Amino acid sequence: MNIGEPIRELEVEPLLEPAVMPAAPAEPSAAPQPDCEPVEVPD
Amino acid sequence: LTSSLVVGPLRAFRCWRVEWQDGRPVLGSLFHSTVWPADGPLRATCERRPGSLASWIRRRFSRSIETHHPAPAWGCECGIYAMTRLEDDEDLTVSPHICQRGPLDRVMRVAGVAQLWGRVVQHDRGYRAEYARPLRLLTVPSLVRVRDTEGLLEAVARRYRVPLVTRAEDLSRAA
Repeated sequence: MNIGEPIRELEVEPLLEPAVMPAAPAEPSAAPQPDCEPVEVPD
Repeated sequence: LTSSLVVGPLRAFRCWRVEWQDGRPVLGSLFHSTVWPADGPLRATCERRPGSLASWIRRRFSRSIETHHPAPAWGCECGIYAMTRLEDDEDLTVSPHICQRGPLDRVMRVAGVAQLWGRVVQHDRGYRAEYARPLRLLTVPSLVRVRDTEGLLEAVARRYRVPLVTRAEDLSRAA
């Protein structure tokens, strides 16, 4: 195989494995949330 | 000599020997006994034999090359070869085909595209690379000449998990 004369040296980045997609964040629940009650903190 | 960093693997043309070996379909080098692995990349090694006449001549006239070195090395001939374009147009119009490698040595030859990465020496018509894997193979159905060629190529494509393309333009688009 005749590839001619050398020109330059390269460092070529390796193949990247297919990225694993992070899991999608959970959808906020459509169900009504209970009202928050203020919590009393003891002294 | 400094090297330039290139992002992403290169793509270039080359031809492989294709055959059944111990019941398995394999891609191999046309000019060496190297068989390309199906489960990972091929990594180049320098196959210069220290005792050969050619090696002695190279050492005599090229003192900068160590006998044992990582491949490919500047000033050596080692590495996995591929071309920026196929030199012989026949490779794109008749693939696969039988070629005469020696007086008694006929091999089936298939054209394709390979990915190259790692240490690479760029030449004016191609590359010598450290790592490579096949990416696409070209088969031209109307010019198949050998019995069971299609079966062999399909088996190779399945084993190496590469697509077979039937038009040279599709091969070029991948390069």
